[in-house]
This record gives sequence, structure tokens and C-alpha cells, in this order.
Amino acid sequence: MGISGRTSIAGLVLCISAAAQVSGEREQYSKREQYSNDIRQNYSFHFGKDQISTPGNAAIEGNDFIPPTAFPKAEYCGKCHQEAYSQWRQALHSNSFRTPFYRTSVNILLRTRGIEFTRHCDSCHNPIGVLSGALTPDSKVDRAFDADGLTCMTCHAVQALQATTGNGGFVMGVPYVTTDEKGNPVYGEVSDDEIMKYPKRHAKAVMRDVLKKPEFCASCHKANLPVSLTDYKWLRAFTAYDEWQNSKFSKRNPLVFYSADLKTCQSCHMPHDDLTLPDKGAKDNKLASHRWPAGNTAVPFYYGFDEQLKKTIDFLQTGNYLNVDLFAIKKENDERPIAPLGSVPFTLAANDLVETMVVIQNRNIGHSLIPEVRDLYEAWVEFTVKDSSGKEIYRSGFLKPNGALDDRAHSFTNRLVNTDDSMVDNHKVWTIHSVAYDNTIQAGRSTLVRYQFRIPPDARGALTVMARVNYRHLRQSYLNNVLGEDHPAYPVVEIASRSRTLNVGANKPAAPDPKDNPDWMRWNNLGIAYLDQFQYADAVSAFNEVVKLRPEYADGYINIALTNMVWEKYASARVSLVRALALGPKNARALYYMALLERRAGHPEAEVTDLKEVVRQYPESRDGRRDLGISYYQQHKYAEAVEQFEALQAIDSDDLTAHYNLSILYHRLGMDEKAEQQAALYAIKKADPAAATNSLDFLRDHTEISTEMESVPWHVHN
Amino acid sequence: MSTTDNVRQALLPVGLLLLASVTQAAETCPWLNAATAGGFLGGAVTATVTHENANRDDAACAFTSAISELRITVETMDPPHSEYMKQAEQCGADTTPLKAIGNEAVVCSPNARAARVVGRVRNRIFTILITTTDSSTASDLLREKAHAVAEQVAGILF
Repeated sequence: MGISGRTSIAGLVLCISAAAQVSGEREQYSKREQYSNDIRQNYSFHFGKDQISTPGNAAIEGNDFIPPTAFPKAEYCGKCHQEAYSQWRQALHSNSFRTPFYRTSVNILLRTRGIEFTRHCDSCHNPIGVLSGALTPDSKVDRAFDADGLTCMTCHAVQALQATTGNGGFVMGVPYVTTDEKGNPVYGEVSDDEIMKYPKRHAKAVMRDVLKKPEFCASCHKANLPVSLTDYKWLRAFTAYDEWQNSKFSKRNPLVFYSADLKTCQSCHMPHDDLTLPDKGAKDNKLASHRWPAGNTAVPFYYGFDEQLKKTIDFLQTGNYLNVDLFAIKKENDERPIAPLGSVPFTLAANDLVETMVVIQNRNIGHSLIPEVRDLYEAWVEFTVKDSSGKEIYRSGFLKPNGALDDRAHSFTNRLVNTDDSMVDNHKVWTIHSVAYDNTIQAGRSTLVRYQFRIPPDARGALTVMARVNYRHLRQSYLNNVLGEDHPAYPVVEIASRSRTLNVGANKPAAPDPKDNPDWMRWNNLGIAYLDQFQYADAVSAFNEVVKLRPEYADGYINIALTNMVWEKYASARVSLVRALALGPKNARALYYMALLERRAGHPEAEVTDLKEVVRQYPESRDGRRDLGISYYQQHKYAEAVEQFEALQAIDSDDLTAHYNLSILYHRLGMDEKAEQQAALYAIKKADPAAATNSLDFLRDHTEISTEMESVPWHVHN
Repeated sequence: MSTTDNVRQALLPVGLLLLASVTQAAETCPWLNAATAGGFLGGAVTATVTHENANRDDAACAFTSAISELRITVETMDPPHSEYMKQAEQCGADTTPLKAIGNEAVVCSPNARAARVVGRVRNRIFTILITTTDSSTASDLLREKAHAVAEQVAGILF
């Protein structure tokens, strides 16, 4: 939804509010109008009339400025909600603005482009700053609110959500903590007695259903870089929300590799914990966490919030989020790897050149590893081989004396590149033009990392091989940018690891570790990793091992079919899908891929029948909606196609296929204005094909990435 | 309750629509606006900005209200840590380290009616000095105010 759409929602909310003609509201309105008039006299409407938050999206009812003092203080809430307050004070949300890790980046934007541009970041990091009109040159607004970042009433005053555009895609109301007997808002810091007298009114005022939806989180945990910020094109920044929506945990995507029970953002990041302090909002002595445990260890480390730091580390380590599998070894000149390790016997000899295949599965994260600002965080694989005396034979993924990560480490990071063919450092996102590489692992998928080492000629006994995924918040060079080079070492957290003993000589099968995946899943994860590395023959081979071990597992056949489809072996794909559908005729994942084969075979009726069944089962399947729209379009059923693409846009307002097809479809249906809007959106969001040259130049200049091939998925660390 | 809000509740009668009424010199303070300074000092302030050395990025700001004054200085130093240590050692009585203000910072009480913070952000050293003629203002409150101002100043220096 664009600005005009947001304004419409905000206007609607205002109209509803204005209908209640109570004196408190009139007084509030009058005070706000006076405040707004004062602010408007000097406010820099750099991006157009009434654009108070552009390049961000933060919106508020009435689309006008609001005094910061209209937001009750966190301490006020904390009187009755001590647990929530104490957690919030240490959490990322309360420190969303003041932390140096944020300020360093946003200050660069402020100094180089102007404070108006910081409204993009601060729509989420400091919405009171944006909506109060404080972010303008020569501001005359008291910035006391900076210290509280996202205070209680920034979330608890949100009335509605815009489409899932992110960048602050909420519509805030004028905050109030209770209502009168007629349900009209009572503004300001109402007395405790009044709230306790009518607790249901308080709950109704501050606990809207919208708070419990994953789309609420999307309003800020999804971000783009609009043209108004980049002066170039619209670019996707990050979207933890879409990653979740595409994961097994959303139950909205039929195309996932594994299934799971529904979990929302709130399920993982707001678990219900026992109270340690009194809190009137608790139920059964439990309260939804206002720590929002996640991955940021830097902020609690900097502030000395030891409890938050411990909870964060516990969260990273206890979530069973990753699986590290020392899956196979391959000896020089052997055609096939020895796999899966632990399940098959083998022998090793001194002087053998051994390639170790490590499969890392994003098992239970509801989004990618690493999510969001991947250019700043650091997760990597540490791989070691030690001989029987403990002496190190091989090591990859170490920290250098200056704290920087081994340049050749396998890291789950990316490299963003600007027009100077340089890495975008310091999170200057408005300069991004292309992505040189991106080593993330999306939810439910796996990656294969290969390490090659030679067993020493004099080696005897057991070698210990260990792979570990470490995480550091933030990347050392960014910490240096923020704090200078004389800062203390920031925490490195092990998220998951696995070690195995390899005997120089005979090796028998060994009992699995309790955390190990079963063998069929180990093969499946290998197949997924091969598929994502474009190694289609190996992927099919791995998936064949899955169906040997689990012939009743329909997804095994679907995975073979999927690989064959991307390998353009359509007849083979059909054979596998038929087997999958024999196991489950309504299997939505199989039906989706079969529909694509039917389209290719020129069977439009079968194609539509299959896709309609997919959409019936998964109405929020973006792939199902997209392809059903294409099917209808190809059959000249334009109204039906429009319906599907509009449904797709409701799921993801940035879907390029929807923009493209709607621009044509609207035109054919005589809706020229809407057609032009969609065409314009497509043009600014479509990737710039010339931008890749910046990445190529960057890789040419960085041999540690290109020659060592970290940017090539099937490379070997040796 | 946070440092900032102890200060504000004690010293600042906040009206819903209060915009600090300020009189400003042509150049505004790069580190803190007058409205925020007025919030800390509890009323309208007069602001002045001076440059005490050739580096135009360094500056000194003074905000004066009827009963209090807030003075902020920022200097670029090399080597920064040792220069910071020199100034921190001379801070004044009851010098106490402050957590999470810039790279490092201390607060002290030069006298009963003043509080000072000396801090560093990378290679820039800043000082905050708050003085008051109001004998009813407790020393601890002045230190909390100086702490809160220091957070604002360090934030913009990052």
C-alpha cells in the first residue's frame, strides 16, 4: 500500500474517532492541532506535502504530528507491570534508538543526507521522534523520549496495520490507556485507581488483537530501501516476516521441505515465562516475555544487562535451531563418499587426503540464518581436526589476534556492494547497488560445507573432527567502526556443534548422538543442500537414499521431482510426482509441482484443477496464488487472474509477478490508472541487470572471496 | 525508574504540548537542541555556541536558564584514551565510572551545586557540566541530569 492508502486508513480511523463527540477528545484534538501547527511552521516536508514519515512508513491517525508527551511513560506502566517493565528496559525494543550500534549508522545518514532521511530508519527505531516531528533541521522538540526507544505505548497504541510493506507499516492511534463507560478514549496518564476499578476498559484500550498477529511484527521486521532514500531503485533490505511466512512454522506454504506445528513470531520471541516481579497483566503467574529474546548480544553486553545477555545466549543455545552433521568423508581418488558417518564402516590411513562434508541444517529457526541486517552480524563455521595428542592438524574459522574473522571461514553473511564496487560498510544501506554473494540458509533448508585436510604421515590412533557454528553480534569491523579498535571483545556464542572420532585404521559404525537427525533426514538435508548448490545429479542420488530408507515418505519423491524439474528432466519429474500422489492424492506440494508439469504439457484444465486445490488448502500460499493467476491469465480469464494476483499482493505487497501481471490485466480490463500504478511499481522494484557488474568488479578485487570461492557454493575449504 | 526520568519528574513540569521557549544564537549546538536542554534544566534556556580551537567540528555549547547552566564541550584528541584519562582524573570529587556512555565515561561532583561528566566516543572527548544556584537541588539529582545529558551527547557523537 502506498502513502495514499496509508492515509486512507489513518483517515478512516480518525473519522471513527471523531464520531465520538466527547469533551476529552475535543480537548485532545485541540491540543494536538495547536502542537501540529507549531511543528508545521518549521518542519521540512522534504518528500512532499503531508509526508511526515517518508522515506519511512510510520503512520498515525489524522496523519498529523503528535506531541511526545501524549505517550504515557514506561515508568507509568511499570508501576503495575513491574515484570514487563524490567524486561523491556533491558530488551532491544527499549534501546532501539540510543544504542551506539544504531546511532553510528543513522548518524552517517543524518550527516551525509540530512535528518529528513533518517525518518526511514526511525519509523521503526524511534517512531515518537518521527510522529512528533522532531526529525527536522533545527528541531525544537525535547528529545527526552530517545532514551526509551519503543516505549510501551508505541506498540500498545497501534490501531491497525498497513499492508505488509514494513518500514514502520503500522497506523498508530493517539495513545490512551482506558476508556469511559461509553468506550470513548480517556487520554493521558489515568490514575492507578481508575484503571484498577475498570480493568477490562484498560485491557480493551491497550490489548488489541493486532498485537498478537505476525503481521504486527512485519510492520518493522520487514524493510525495503525506497527510491526516496536510494535515489536509484527500490531494493529489498530484509524481511524476516516473509521468511517466516515461507517457513514450515507459518502453515501457509505448501512447498516446505518439512512440516511443523504453527509458531508465530510471538511464539518464539515472546514465550510465556514465570513472573519474578509482580505484574497485573500476568495470567497464571506467567507473562509473555517483553525481553523478546533473539540474537543481539551486543546491546546487553554494552549496557551491562547481564540477565538479558544470559537469556539471549540461552535462547541461541537451547532452541535446537541448527543441526550440524559431519555427514561424510571422501578420500582422494574415491568416487563415492563414505556416508552417512556413524552408520557405515570405513578405514583411513596416514597420508590420506580427506574431504569432510559438513551439512548444516536450519532446522527450527522460523527465518533465515542470519536474519535481517546480515551485513552486520557474523555467524560462521569453525572446523578443526586434532590428532590423538590434541595437536591441531587443520583449522578454519578462527578469530585473528585483532578479533577479525579468518577471511577464508565459511560464514553465513553477505557482501553488499556500492557503485564504487566496494563493500557497503557501516550499514550505509542507501548506497547499495548489488549483492556480491549471500550465504544465508533459509528456514528449513541446509547447506553443505566441504573441508579438505591431509592426515599426517606419522598419525596414529584417533583424530577428532569438530564443526561448530559460532555467532557474534556484531562483525568485528563494524564494532571497530562504532567504538574504535580499542573496545573489549564482544561475545562469541556457539549455536550448535558436532564432533566425531576418526580412527587411523578401521572405523566401525557408532551409536548416534541424541541430537542427531535420523539417517533418512541426514540424506534429505544433503539433497536439499546439493539442490541449492545446483548439483542436481548428487541431489537426486541423495533423495533416492531417502526413499530407500522411507518408501512411504511422499516428500522424498517430491524432492526428486523438484530436482528433476529444475534440471529440466520433466518426464522423470512426473514419474516421481505420480508416486508421491499415489501416497497422498491431495498432497498440496505434489499437486503444485504437478500443475507446473501439466502447464508445460499443455493440459490447462488439469493445471488449474491442481492449483485450485493447492489454494483451497493453503489460501495464503504465494506460489499457489501466483501460478493460478498465471494459469488464468494464459487462458484469458482476466477477472479470475486479477483475483489471484490481488490475493497475492495481500500476502506480499512487493511481489513482482503480481505487479507485472496486474499492470497488463488492469489495462485490458479498462482500469488504466491502476494499470499505470502497477507498471510503475514493477519498474522501480525490478532488479537492475546492470548492477551485477558492481558485484563482479568487487569479487575481482577480493580474491579471498572469489579465488577461495566463498562466493561459489560448491567450493572446498583446504 | 531511569536516570532521565528521575530528573524530569523532579525538575520539569511537563505540559502536554510544551515546546520549550528558547532564545537561540544563529549557530545551534550540534550535540543537543535547546528544547532538550531546557527540559533538563527545567525551563526556557538561552543557548550560545563557541569554537575554542581551529577544528570547526569541536565546539562548546552553553545553555542558561534562570537558575541553572549546562555546558557541553567536545574536542578531538589523539591519543584519545590517554587524553581522556587525564581529564577524567581531574574530574572532581566522588568520581564514579558510568556504564554505557560512549566508550568510557565518569561522573563527578566538582562542588555541591555542580555535576560533571567526562566521556569519550572514539577519538572525541566530551565534558558535561551542570551548575545550579538552587540550593534545594540534590547533588545526586545533578549527577543524574549530567548522566542523561551525556547519553544524548554521546549518542550524536557516535
